[in-house]
Amino acid sequence: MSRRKSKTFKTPRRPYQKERLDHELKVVGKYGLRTKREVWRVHYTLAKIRKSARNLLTLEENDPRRIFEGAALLRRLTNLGILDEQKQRLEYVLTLTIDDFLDRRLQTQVYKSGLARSIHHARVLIKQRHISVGSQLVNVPSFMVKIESQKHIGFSSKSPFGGGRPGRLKRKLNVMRGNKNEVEEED
Amino acid sequence: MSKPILFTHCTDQEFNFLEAPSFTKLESSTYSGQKYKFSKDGKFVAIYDPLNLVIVNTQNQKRHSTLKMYHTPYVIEFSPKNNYLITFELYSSKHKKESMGNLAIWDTKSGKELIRIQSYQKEIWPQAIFSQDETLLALLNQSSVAFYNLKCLNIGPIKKKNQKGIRNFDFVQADNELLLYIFSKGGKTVGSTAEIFVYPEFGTPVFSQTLMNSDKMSIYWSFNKRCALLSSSSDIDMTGNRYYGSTNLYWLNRQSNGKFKFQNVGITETIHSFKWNPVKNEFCVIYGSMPAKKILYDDLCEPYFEFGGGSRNDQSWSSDGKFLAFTGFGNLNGGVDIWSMEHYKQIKFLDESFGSQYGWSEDSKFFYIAVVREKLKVDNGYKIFTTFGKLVKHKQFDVLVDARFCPAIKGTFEPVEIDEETIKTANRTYQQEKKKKELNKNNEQNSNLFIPSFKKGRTTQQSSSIGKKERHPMFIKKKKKLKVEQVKKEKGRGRGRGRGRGRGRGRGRGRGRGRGRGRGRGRGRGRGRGRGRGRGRGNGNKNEKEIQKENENNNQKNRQNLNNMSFDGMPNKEFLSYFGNYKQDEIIKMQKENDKKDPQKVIRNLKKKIKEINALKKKKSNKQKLNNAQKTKIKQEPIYKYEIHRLKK
Repeated sequence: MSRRKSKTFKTPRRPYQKERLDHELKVVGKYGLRTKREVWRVHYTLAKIRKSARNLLTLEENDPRRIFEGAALLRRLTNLGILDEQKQRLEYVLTLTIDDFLDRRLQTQVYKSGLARSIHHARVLIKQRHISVGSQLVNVPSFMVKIESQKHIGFSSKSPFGGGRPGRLKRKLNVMRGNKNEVEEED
Repeated sequence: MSKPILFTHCTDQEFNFLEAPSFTKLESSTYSGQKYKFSKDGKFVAIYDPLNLVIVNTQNQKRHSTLKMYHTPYVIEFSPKNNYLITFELYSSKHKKESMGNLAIWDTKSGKELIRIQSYQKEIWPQAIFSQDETLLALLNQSSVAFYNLKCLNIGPIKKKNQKGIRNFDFVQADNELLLYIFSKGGKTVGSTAEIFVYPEFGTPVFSQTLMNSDKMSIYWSFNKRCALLSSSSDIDMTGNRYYGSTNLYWLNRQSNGKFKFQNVGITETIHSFKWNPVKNEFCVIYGSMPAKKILYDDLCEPYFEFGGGSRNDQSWSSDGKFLAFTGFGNLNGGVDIWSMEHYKQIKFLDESFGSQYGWSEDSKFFYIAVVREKLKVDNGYKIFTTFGKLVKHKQFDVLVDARFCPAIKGTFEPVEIDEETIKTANRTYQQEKKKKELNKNNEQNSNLFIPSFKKGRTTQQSSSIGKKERHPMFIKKKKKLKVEQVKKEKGRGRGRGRGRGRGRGRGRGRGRGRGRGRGRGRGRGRGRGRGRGRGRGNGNKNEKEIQKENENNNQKNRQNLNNMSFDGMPNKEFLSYFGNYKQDEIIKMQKENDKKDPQKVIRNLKKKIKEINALKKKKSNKQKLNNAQKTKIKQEPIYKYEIHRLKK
């Protein structure tokens, strides 16, 4: 079975621009990202959304296509939490920034809900399978959290932080201590 | 069964009872004291005089017993049935010398001291809690919670729960069970855990959760003890957004299992206050930057009502659960909104700017606001209002230490029944008052403004910008005359040689310009000698000389007035009276009309129009040529470029 593939990011046109490099580095540090590609990926998604919004705005107000697709676009963005509930117009879609998208990743939401000490700690926890959204264990730090599922972020029931059995190292240490006690008692 | 409602206040030296609804002092009931605390019933008060704690019965206002203290207590608390008393003193060098402890538990009837324990921390409170039956006592150590039987304290603890680094704990009775809540802080990697146990079984927690980012986590139970709110706060905010650290709110709900369900309420902004409804399982949260949002959350932790209104800090529920008051004291301007929670409408707005303590009476008929010495050294005093906003009592002091209503258990007072109609009328009056305020604001702005005549058509915002020099009219070039004259509207009849600028059509010879001698209505410019009705601005039966004299005098007067005035915007009375009480809009209109009649400007406008007309004529002529050419349909021979030049010449 072959899967359909498409590009998700686009490299910048000019490679060595001081302002752009500084800005991207700041973003990487603020949201705990791994590579520049994760930044360019968000730029690309934003660009596609803006393009569609621009095209729809050129149509007339009564155009059925504008009504249908515009409403669908707004609904998608509000469900993800990127667009406010009070800003339900296509013009507001053109004022979105990258920070709005990056705020909705699982990594930042785990940090902001208090489960992690820092953003990098949050990424580690997610990758090491401690965190679940509802009952579904999520392993991906760029999972876009919807508004409905924001309240259900927590430690999964099988992780040692959430009530499961302790991890591999701890079990090993307990066994060693258990052996020591037995040895002492025998003597 | 009607019980009298009591209000108490305490200055540096005295402590007094007052009785509702007249709030007069009960003379038999003055004690000397600096601090005081009520029991949870409201039946007893503990008043602190230096080195003596006096316990007073509130119904009789008589002395019940006295206790001898060694140091000033920082916290005083009664047990639920008023048999025991806890005092906590700040640990100091005196305690070291005498090798005495901080925490003490007393017997109220006899006045004896039962236990004295050493504990250093003041940030962690509570450290000792009684059960509701008064059979058990729970005490906090650094690494454990110990339970004692109150009848036989000397034996030692019956049960213990060990946990390292306990910061907060709570011990509560829910229906038939006793619940223990513990929050312990771990290291960096492990995180800090919050747990709830049922009393004797400490092996299996009913609820447990680990959080990484919290230094302190306190629990607030609802009236049922079936729901609870956890507020976790961290001392340091790593993002750097806030100086005081970040807070998060979590919601717990007890299910049929016996276990608690955990959910994040979902607020990312700063939380100013949150409180439970004392009758239902709902709570209200104030969060965000000013003006803050106030939202009511449901049984299931879903928001279902949002309050409007200004910027407020804090909230206080009446014990019925029928009234909610939002207050904006502290670092805000002030103001109190009172809402009725049966019909979800606002009843009243109180315009108070100071207040450090506030609350409802247990009757839910009165609301008090007090300014207290700890927070403000000035303006100490208290005010008491009814629920619909009438001032009942107002008193000022030099020093006021505390003032509050006497608390009571639920059920002592009958619930207040208010009709829907009274609330609706109150809502209407509130909205009317609101509109009046906004109108008054606009009027006040216009009456204070004035625009001197040398600022034509500009608004004060444009003209009062910093950096621009405002010229005194004396130093303006003489071309720009003071146009005070023209504002004066007089319906003059241009007769004789009056300079009337009349309108109309001339009948006679002179048709306007020049010297028309006709009768009728001259058109206007020039000296219509005819009789006429000018619409204008003639000066009636006066000669020219007289007119000039008057104008000069007026101009001199105005210049003097302008000299005397300051240009901050405060007008002189004479000047204003000259204008009349015109409003800003009308002044601008008049000035625009003046501009239209200014001869220089009119000439400029005419020149523009002539240019436009000439341009149009050219276009028309070009168009006509093309049309004519098409009509004739002559096939023109192909003209090459070099021939065109010849044709033009």
